[in-house]
Amino acid sequence: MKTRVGFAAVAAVLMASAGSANAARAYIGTYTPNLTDPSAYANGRGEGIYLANVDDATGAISNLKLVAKDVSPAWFVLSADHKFLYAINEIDSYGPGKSGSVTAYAVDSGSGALRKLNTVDSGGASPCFISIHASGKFALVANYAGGSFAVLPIKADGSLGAASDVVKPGGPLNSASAVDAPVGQGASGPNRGTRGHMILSDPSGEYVVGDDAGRDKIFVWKLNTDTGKLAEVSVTTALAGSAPRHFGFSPDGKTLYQIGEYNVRLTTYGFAGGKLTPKGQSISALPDGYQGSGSASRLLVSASGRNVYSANRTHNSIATFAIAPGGLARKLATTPTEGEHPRSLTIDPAAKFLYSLNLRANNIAVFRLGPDGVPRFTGKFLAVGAPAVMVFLP
Amino acid sequence: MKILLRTVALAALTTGLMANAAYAARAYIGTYTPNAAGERSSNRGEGIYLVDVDNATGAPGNVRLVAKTLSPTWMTLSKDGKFLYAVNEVDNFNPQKSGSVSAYAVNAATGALKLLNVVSSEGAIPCHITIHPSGKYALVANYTGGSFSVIRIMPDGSLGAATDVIKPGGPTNSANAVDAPPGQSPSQANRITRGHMISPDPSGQYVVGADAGRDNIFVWKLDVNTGKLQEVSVTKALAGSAPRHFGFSPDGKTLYQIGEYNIRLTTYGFAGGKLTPKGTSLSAMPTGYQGSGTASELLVSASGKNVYSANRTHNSIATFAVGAGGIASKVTTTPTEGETPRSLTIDPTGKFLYSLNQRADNVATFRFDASGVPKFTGKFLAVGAPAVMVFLP
Repeated sequence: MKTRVGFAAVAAVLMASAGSANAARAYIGTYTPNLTDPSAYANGRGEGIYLANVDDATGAISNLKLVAKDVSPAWFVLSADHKFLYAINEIDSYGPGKSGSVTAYAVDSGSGALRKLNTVDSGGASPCFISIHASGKFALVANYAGGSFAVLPIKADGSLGAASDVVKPGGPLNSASAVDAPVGQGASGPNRGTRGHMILSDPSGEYVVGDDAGRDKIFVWKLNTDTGKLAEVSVTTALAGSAPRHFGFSPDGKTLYQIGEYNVRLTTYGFAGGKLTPKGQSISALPDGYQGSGSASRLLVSASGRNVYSANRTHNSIATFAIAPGGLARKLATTPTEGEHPRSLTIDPAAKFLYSLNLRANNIAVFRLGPDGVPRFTGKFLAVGAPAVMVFLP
Repeated sequence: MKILLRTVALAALTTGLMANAAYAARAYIGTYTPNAAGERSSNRGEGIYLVDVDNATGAPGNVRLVAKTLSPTWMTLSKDGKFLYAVNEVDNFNPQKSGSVSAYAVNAATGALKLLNVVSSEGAIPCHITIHPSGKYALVANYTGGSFSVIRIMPDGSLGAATDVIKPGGPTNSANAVDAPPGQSPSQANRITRGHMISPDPSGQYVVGADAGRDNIFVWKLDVNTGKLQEVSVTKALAGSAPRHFGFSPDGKTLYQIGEYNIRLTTYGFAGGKLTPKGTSLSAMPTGYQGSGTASELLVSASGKNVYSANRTHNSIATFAVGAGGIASKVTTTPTEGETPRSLTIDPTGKFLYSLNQRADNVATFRFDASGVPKFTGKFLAVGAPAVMVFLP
């Protein structure tokens, strides 16, 4: 009996040394079962938010553990001090208004455990994106089905208050397919209304940018940090039917890279004074000569600003673009995601590895970034039910 | 006006001739069509298309609809190429909620199809059809209906009534295969018989059927006078593996079998109508794969040197090399360049492989390298929800 206890102690020591090999940690958000509407997009085999260890030599992810049982936390963000995590719940059943919700958690920096603080209305159904305003005082939320952008005050204790502003753009509906979509692209949904898909502060912290993938608009606002109200600075109309979905900034904040979900093309804009000015031609994120359906999901800019990446669902690949001086992009390659339906991509803090969250393959595939910035598959997979988003802890 | 018309006529003639000269091969492509009631309501196919295939580049082009019909997702030509038989993957053909099979006469010159008749497939959601070597019967596997049926082919090429319908019973199975990838999705609860494929063996003596629901492989003999199937053997595959598609070595002595849910190739010796496992099964996925997956098609090359399978979810083509005694080893996996490869086709010259990427609405063209590995040619063809491709002789 004593011997057996000894073994257990040795095993614990071994586990601890395994822990020291895994120098990084990350949260993984997933889609969870939607029992009321199994045909809904927001339905998967995940259970909530997982914590995983990441080996910073191989990039491999391991030791997956559920740290928050929650409903479809399909996007989330850490506060600047990493003490709090804010996760949307991609649902349309919160409260009498059939809204979505956002859940605030306190992060235990030692264990990575999450303690739920509160859950509030997201200001619209099916929220799909959340970021923290540069002031740290507000969470910014994009609601897809609800067609709105919401500002949620962050209280001193890290919990969330009721929305200080909800912007719900109107205007004519759009059912057109983008003229520069791939040959054979699936028809876009009929009469699309506003679809809030992303909202983010620019690097200067002066502006907030929002993508409306339904009416093909890119909004720029200023946020009044006293009142929590958004004031419109500019509205840029993207190509009809292109469905601007995700964007990213160059490190200097002067260039904005925008991926269209339905035309599956990268458009580059100069960004100055809160206004967007198209730069050069848009570039397809699919292989040359591609025919068939496709829908882009994530766009990422590398920390160095030298590369832009986008994820192609349906073709199930990652497009790598090289950025030339002046911010113009050129396509380098497409790399298979090694799993179906990449919902998002993440680069680790050391910028050595890229992760593809393959929602319908129920896996995450690990890639190493080459000297040219092109991701090469490492051969490492991690099984996770319906992964959607991955955020590294510092 | 006259001049303009003549120019147009000349242009049409020239284009037509040039197209014919450049395209030496032709193929039919069957598709999923919209199903208002079902989950695949967004299918964008319209029926059966004819395409010209450039036999230098392998590229299919000049796609045109030749038969507007419901979800002709598997089809086969008669040996003389005069008739085409297509399943209609539906479950509402008659009050019994069966699927159906459509018979077409092929215009050899134009490739046009003339509908002869439509009969019950004797089970819902038929998904596979072949012709018995006698030429007198079509063999059909019904997925949801859980049956295998024999349908008489009339002298005029039309289809007669079913001469036999086999509907295997036995205990239901809800287990996941123990050798499935880590993280594989749970299989459906209590699966019943799922007829997924039925095909004669190369000798013509036997008929083999894969039941992906109860994990059985049936071998029958077909009485060509009565059209009745008589059971010769039943082989139990691994529980939960879901035997889906299979193919024979050219000598007929080896059967290669792909499991839909364990995504593994199992090799059997085939003699006297009996299957004997050979060696161990091999994953069709990359080494170390974790996550979900479902295999679809299996093909054996005409030379017998290679076996190919299609991996949905991972969206890749697995290439296996066949060694001495028919034993396979995995060579590599190649991305399909589109989502949900429903099937694979090799052209009659054995130079090209086509991946029918159902949910990407495209067909991607690959050229075989010297070792039999498909390399993407860069050629795509947009087609709504493609499922099957059959070359005309």
